Amino acid sequence: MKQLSLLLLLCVFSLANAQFDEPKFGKVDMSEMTMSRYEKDTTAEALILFDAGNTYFDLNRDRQFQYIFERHCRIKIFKKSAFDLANRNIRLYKSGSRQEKIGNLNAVTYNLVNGKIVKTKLDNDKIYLEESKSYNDKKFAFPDVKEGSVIEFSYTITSDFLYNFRGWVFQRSYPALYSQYKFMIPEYFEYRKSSKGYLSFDVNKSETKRERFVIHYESEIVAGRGGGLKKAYDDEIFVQASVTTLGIKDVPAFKSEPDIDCEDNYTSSIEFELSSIQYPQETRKDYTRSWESVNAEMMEDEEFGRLLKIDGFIKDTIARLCQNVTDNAQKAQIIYNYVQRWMKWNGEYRIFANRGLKKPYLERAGSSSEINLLLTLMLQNAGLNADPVMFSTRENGTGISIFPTITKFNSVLSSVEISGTRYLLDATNDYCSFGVLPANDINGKGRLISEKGSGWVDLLTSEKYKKVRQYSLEITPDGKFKGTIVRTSDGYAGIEYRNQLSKVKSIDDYMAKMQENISGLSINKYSVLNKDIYNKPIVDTLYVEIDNAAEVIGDKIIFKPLLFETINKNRYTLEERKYPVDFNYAIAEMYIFDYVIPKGYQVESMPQGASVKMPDGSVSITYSGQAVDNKIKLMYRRTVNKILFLPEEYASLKEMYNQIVKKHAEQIILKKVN
Amino acid sequence: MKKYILVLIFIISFLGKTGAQNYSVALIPDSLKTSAHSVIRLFIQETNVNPDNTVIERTRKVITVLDKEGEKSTYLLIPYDKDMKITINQILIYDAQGKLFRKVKQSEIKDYPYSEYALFSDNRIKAFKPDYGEYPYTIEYYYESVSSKAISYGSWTPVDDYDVSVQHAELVLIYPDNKIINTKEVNFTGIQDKKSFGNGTIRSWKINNMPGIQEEPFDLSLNERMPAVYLMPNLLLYDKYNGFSLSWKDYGTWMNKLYEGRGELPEALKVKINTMVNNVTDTLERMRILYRYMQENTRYVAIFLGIGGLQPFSVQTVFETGYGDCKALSNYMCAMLKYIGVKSYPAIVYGGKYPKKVFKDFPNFSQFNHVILCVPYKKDTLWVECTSQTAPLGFIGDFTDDRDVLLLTEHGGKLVHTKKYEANDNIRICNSYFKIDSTGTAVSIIKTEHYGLQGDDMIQSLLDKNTKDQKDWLYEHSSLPSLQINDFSFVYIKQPLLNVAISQTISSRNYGTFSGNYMLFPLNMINNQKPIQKMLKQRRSDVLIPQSWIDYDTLVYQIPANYKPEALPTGKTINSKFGEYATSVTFKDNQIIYTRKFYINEGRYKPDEYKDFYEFILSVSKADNLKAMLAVQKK
Repeated sequence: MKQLSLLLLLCVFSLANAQFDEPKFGKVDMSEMTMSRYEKDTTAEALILFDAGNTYFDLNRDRQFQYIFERHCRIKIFKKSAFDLANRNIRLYKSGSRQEKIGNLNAVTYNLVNGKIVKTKLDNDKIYLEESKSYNDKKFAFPDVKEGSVIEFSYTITSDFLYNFRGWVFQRSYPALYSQYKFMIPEYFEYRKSSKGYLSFDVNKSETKRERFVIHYESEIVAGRGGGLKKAYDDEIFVQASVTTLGIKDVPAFKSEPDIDCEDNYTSSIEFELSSIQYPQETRKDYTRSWESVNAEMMEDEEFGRLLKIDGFIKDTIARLCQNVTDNAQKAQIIYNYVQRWMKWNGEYRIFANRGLKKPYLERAGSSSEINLLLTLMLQNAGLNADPVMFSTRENGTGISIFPTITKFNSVLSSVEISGTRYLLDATNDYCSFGVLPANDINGKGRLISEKGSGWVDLLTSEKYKKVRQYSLEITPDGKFKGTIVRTSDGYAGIEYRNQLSKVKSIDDYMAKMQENISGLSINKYSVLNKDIYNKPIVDTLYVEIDNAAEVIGDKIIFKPLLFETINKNRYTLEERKYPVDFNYAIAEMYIFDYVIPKGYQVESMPQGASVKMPDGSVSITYSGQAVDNKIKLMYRRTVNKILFLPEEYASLKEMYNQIVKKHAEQIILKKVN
Repeated sequence: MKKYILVLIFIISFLGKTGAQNYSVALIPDSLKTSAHSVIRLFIQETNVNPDNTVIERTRKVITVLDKEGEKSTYLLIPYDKDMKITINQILIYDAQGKLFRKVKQSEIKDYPYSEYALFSDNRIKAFKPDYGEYPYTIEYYYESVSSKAISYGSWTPVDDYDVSVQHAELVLIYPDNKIINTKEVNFTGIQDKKSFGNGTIRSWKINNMPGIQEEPFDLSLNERMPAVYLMPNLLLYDKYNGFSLSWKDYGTWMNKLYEGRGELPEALKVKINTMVNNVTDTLERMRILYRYMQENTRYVAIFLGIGGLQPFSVQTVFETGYGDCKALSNYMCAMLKYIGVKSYPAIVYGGKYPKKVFKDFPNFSQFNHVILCVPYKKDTLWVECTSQTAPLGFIGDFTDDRDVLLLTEHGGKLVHTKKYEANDNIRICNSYFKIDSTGTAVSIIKTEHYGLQGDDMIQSLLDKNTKDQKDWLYEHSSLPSLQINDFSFVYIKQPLLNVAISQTISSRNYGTFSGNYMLFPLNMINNQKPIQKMLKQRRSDVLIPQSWIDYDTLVYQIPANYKPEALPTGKTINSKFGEYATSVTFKDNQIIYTRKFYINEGRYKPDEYKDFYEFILSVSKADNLKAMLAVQKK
């Protein structure tokens, strides 16, 4: 999967043809007005006629560089359901007293009235401003929007925040005829670019130009000899700059699908990160450059590496925890369990610990960064070889980029090496046993940061989702079942079960909910083993009665042998997929059913044994059963040992689940014999 | 006088502070812990109405969080607008023993714009979310608000969520004698007190040891189950708009003032209307034309500004911008109807699937959140939802049906009831034909028609979708195995009755499954009733079934020639006060014909009747699981 995205990134550099000519604002063509649908996607509720961005640099009044971002977009609305496109929000960042400025905001709606194009302009007093701490939102709604309207807007943003150079999203939830981004970057600045998505560029042009910049000097009074009023004047400088144009024609709409890891991984876009600034006759200022400089910077960062040097506040705790413990593996385990219990995760993923580590430690709560840097610090303090690893969670998208950049990461975990084996630890989750990562962390690679240098670490897990269900049930002549269910949940199934238990007041409540939700199930008694021993499977035994699972027709009793474990419906209903199906982890499930049939009955028929596999064996089920005397024994096993299924494999995955549903629907028929 | 009130406040606040200072978790009675994820230890709200009409509300709230799920009741969220000033005096966090752990800094309190449902609103919100590593812990808030608009004095609601217990809660209302404050207690069974104090009056309401309320299936909305006290000024004052709130009539008179001068039609709109309706004589048709014109030329954009969001944009503004919120669009439609000589009234309503009870004896606007239009027409009344882009004229759906609303008439406000959709309005008819071959594959034509609220549900799910998404939706909402939808159509009919007709041709592999010599297949996989949630605990809430409806299904199965039914299940009839269910199964010419009628009767039932309701639905769901069992015929 990750290799796949790398390949795609290379498409950026393919050669391409001439660029698109952006129409003038207001020059709406009659064909745009009369168009009633988009032939290439007749289901489209709106069509982006073009969306063009242009960023270039300029000098501000303080003779500092700033960038100017221009956007010009025209949209055809076919259906009311696309009216949301006519409500716009433009975000302007701010920091301290500095803030981005918006200018030249134009918004016009065009309607066809009696064969003529009627324009309605947005009123300036209907633009609203909402202020937040780090940004302001300019909001407006286009006037007079109907089905068939064309809307057009343009604006410029002037920004001093050179590190926040605007990127571009080529693909959105509506199709576009053309999406183009042009950006000029003077030679003084170096930006790392990374692009994503499944589409290739139709236009990809880059050239170097000599750009003229005007330096404006204000009038001023100069003191001293030869002083007096100095007039305002303009000066100019010429700077080499690269100008790049990227464009995609006929961009299809992005549609989400179930079981994809992160939508952003698949939409086409480009992002920028400032890596260095070098003005003439000044020393070069590096922002991010090589992984080694990233590593050095992170190690020196007040909210990251430096925090691993302040260990006074945890020394006593470590001494107490590791008293009389000499084995390193044991020490690591104790510290991990301690941090897991001591710290409550506030639900936030962060790379930097902006409150330091002591404060979160005392408050016993913090972000993923605070918790796992604290864990690293404590492991190091105990003499272990531990380092932080920056990574991206699944919901945040891929963490890998071909350029050394930290912008893709959103979280931190801890790596500890014991006798040559590396263990990855994330103490935000309460139930993961030592060395098992929370499911949301399993996402490609993370970057290990250490004094000895940095490197990639695979965020894999050998842990599976493991479940065993043993049913031992006696069947009564009126079609009821009575007996026990032993449920063993291990690995990710154990984590999932413990998570569920943490959400109810008591196990009693959990069992009550289960009975309320599964019709016909009564739990008379239960026991739960290992609930709080996280490195062991959690095992519960339920003493149950089940009504409503079998049907009595004449002298026959008919039931689906998997009872309420039956999968009744294929979860893959879509006819086709564009993006991969991601299972997150491997699965191993086993179900055993031991039935005792009522006296005077015999088995008339039961499902035949079967084994169904995906062509590559990645998903398989085996089903076997036999009846001896008054007993039926059935075994059903499902394994998934591949995590990612490409769209090409979707049809066979869907068919695999059709077969599973079919097998599950088969019934046992018991017949009364005397 | 002002000084005097301040002294009074000081004394009261002082009394409040000397209360239970020890927040040790050990002091919480067990009965409050077993039914809750969090406990309100102390909640004192002092509302001071000043002679100059400003209202100061001081709050002290102490919450103990027992577990992770209780965390959300500690969140501080105070919405405010430009007429209010909020000061958060102190936030303190205590450990389980009640020992002060830390004081929260002002810089940790967030302040951001609040426009969750709106494109824009001038409301903001102050918010705080605590972090503490161990349960249980306790958080204490002190905050106050000063409000300068006298159109509502707010309310006192000690709990606003399920599973929260209350140890002690108290409302103190202080006001000078020359003011009249209207109060309304709901589900309040605590202690009330009233004292004179110089030129003022102190009233109080107290609750002690109230266990948490649990969410139950088919229960009443939470605000009908929890205690609350609402406060209203007798004299309404806002900006230049004055009025009384003694009765709904007075209240409506005041609201009428907010609408004054906002109904003028621009000349261009008059011309437009003339060209549209001048050649049409039938009044109903003229109204339909205007309604359609509005649907096609305006859209709903929520922008809440000024007068607590109560005042509509003018007709002129809506005409120019082509958008508005519910007030603005209703006002717009009302003005257009007036121009063609049809009288109509804005109807202020609580919009939501589950209606809230309107207090007939206590006028205040916070009982409502939406505006529709009421058009008396001949003997009937048309209710018009002006924010809908798709509804036929006079169809309001379950968002505003069957509830009390406030009409703004020329004689002031008037409470009336909106249209109720009866079982016979909300019908679903399904006719399907299945041809089953000897491999168990079914090829089928499924036709369904959905009327009234059932039709509206389909419109909400499907109308705005493109054909691919509609097809995906049909896939997701079918349980037929290995389903392949070959073709489908979706037709929305507005007149004479709202009806959504869907027709599908499909095939389903493995519809019949085999066991020995038998083929088994379900007789009703199209409209299969699932059991509802069983309740093990003692039921507290009344049982609310919000709507009546009827489903009719006729499913015909053509079976393979070499099979004969081995055992044909018999039809079933189940009757109860909650509804009726009847099925029949017949066999003729190698066809099994299955018919089903299922009728649900809306109503509010007693808590102990839930068991019967559960049993009724359970027996329906069992009956819906009927299977045909076919045996292969040996030659």
